[in-house]
Amino acid sequence: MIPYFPQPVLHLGAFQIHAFGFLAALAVVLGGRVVLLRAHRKGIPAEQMFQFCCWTYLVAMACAVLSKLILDNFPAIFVDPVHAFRTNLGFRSVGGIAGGFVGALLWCRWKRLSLYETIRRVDIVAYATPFAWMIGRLGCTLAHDHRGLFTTSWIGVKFPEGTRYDLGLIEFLFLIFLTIAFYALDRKPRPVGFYFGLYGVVYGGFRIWLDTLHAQPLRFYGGAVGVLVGLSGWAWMWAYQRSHASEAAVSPAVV
Amino acid sequence: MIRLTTSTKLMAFGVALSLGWVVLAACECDETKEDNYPGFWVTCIDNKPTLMTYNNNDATPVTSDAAGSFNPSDWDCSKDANSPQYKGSADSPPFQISGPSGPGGSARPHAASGTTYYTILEPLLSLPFTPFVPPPGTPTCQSTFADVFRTNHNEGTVTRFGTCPFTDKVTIPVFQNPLQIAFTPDGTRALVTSFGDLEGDGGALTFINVATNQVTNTLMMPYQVTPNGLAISPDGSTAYVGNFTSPGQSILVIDIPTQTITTTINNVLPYPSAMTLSPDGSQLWVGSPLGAETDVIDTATLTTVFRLNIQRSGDIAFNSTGTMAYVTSALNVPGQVYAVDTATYKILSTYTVGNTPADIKMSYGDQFLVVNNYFDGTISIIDLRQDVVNTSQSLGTNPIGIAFLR
Repeated sequence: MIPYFPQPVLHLGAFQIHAFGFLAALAVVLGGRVVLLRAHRKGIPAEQMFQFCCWTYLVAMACAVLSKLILDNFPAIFVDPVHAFRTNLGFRSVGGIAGGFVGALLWCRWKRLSLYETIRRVDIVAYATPFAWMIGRLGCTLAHDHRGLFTTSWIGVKFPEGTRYDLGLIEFLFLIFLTIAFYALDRKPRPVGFYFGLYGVVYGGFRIWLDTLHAQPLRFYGGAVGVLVGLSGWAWMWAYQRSHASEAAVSPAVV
Repeated sequence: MIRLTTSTKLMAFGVALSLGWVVLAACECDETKEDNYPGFWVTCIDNKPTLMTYNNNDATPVTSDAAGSFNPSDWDCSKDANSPQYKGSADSPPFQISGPSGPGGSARPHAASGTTYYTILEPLLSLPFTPFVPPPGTPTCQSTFADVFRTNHNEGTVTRFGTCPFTDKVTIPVFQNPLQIAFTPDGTRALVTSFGDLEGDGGALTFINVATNQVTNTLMMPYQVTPNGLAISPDGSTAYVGNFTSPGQSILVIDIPTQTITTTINNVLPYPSAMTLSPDGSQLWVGSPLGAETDVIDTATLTTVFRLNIQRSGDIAFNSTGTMAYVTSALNVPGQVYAVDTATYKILSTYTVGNTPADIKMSYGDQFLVVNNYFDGTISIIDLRQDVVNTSQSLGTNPIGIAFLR
C-alpha cells in the first residue's frame, strides 16, 4: 500500500503554488520545447511551429475549461446563465485533447497546408505528448484527483476513506514507460503519422483498461475514440506510403 | 533566435498569461497550516505529553480537550523527549504522534480532491447548505449551550464547535465534499452527506459517533449517486438522502440501525437538496434551489403525493403541529416564502423576504420564522402572529445554514 499525503504547497509570501498547477505549467513548457526541437530537426520553421503550438495550446485550454464548465454545470447554467460566472473553473482533459486537435487542424487549414504537412505537424506534437502528459499526470498523482475503486492491491493508495486505486498515479507510471518507448523508437526514422497513430492506439487502449478501475460502470468511449483516431492515423500513413511507393527510394514521408 | 511576428507574440503572451493562471490560480491565499493540517497530534513539551493543534500557522498546545479523548496518562515522554510513546489501551492512538513541526505523513485530504478547481467568485450553487456558525462572544453564553457541527465542503471534514465558550473542539475527516449534516433524535449519531468527487462519480453517507467524535461507518453510494439533502425520521430509524445528480436523481431510504440502503425512490424532481420531514414523519417535502417544483412524498408508500408549483425552493419548515409548511423560493427577486396548508396543499400566504432565501427555521411556539437570504446577506424575520416581515440590513456575505441553540 502507498501512503496518502496531501498535495504539496509552496508558500511564497502571499502566494501559494500547488504542485498540480506548477507541474501542469511545467508540462506545457516541456512539451513545447520537445515539439520545437523536433520541428527544427524536421526542417519546419521554428517561428511557424511556435505559432502552431501557441494556437493549439490556447484552443485546447479554452476547450478544456469550457467543456468542464458546460458539462458539469449545464443544468444550472440552463436555469440561470449567470451561474457560469459564479462557478468554479477546472479542466476536462478530453475537451482539451479534442479542442487542441481541432484547433491544430484549423490552424493548418488557415495556413493552407496540405494534409501531409498537417499530419507532419500533428505527428510532432503526438511524439511530444507523452513527455508532457507524464509531467501533468505527476501533478494529478500529487493532487490525488482521480480516485479509483477500493482495492487491497499493493499499488492502492491509503486514502482517508479507505485504500483505493489512484488512477493518476497508475497513468503516470504507464507514461514513464511510454515516454521511454517513444524515445527509443525515435532512434530510427519512422513514417509521418507513426507516432500519431501509436499514441492513439497505445494510450487509448491503456485508457480502456484504466477505466475498468474507475469508480464507475465500464465506459470505453474515451479510450475507444483514441484507438480509432490512432488507427485512422496509421491507415492514412499506410495509404500515403503505398501511394508514394513508386517515388524516391526514401519517401519524403520518412523524415 | 526566433524572430516572432506580432500575431505570434500575441499568442505567446496569451500562453504566458494562461500558464501564469495555471500556476497561481490554484493559490488559496487564506490557506494556513490549520487548513492543511486540521486536527490534533501529541508531542512532548517539558517531558509532558501535550495535545497540539495548529492555530493559523502556529503549532499551539490545546489547554482543554473538550472532546475528552486525550488522556496524558496514555502517553510516555520518558523514553524519547521528542516523540511520546503511546501506551493506551486502544489498539491505535487516537491522535497522531509528531514533533512540534506538525503532524507527519498522513494529514487529511486537501481541498483539491476532485479535478483541480479555481474559484472565480463564491460559488452560488456549489452545493449548499453548510450550517452558519454564530460569531464568538455570544452575550448570553451559558454552559448548557449545545455544540454546533459544521461541514467543511472543500476540506472534506466536519468541525465540532463548542458555543460556550466558542471553541473549535475537533475536526473529523469524512468522505469528499461533505454537504449536510443531521442528528438522530437521541443525539448519539450524526449523519453527513458527501457529494464525492466533483466528477459526480458517487459520494457517501458518513456515520459519526457524537460521543467519541469518531466515524463509525462510511456508507459508499452506488455510481453517480451524489448525496446532498438529508432528513432523519422522528423515530431515528430512517434517513432520507437526496441524490443530487440529475438526470438520475433519486431519494435513497437508509435504514440507520443496519446502515444500509433499503429503497430508492426514483420518480422525484431534479436536484433534491432541501429535504424536510413533517413533525410526525409522514411526509417528506423535497425542494431544490434549481428545481421547478417542490415534491411532497408519502413516507409510508414512498410515492409522490403532490407537486407544488413552487420553484427554486432552498428550504422548508413546518409548524410544530405539521399543519402548515413554509417553503422558500428564490425564483423572484426579492425572494418569497409560501405558507402552504399541508392538508390541501394550497398556498395560504406569501411573504416577501430578501434576495435568494436559502434556509428557513421555525422558532419556539410557532411565532416566528427566520430566513437567511444568500445573495444580499440579510436575515428576514416573519412574525406569524401579525403577518409582518422584517428584513435586516446585510449582516455578512452569503450566509448559508441557520440553527437555533436549544
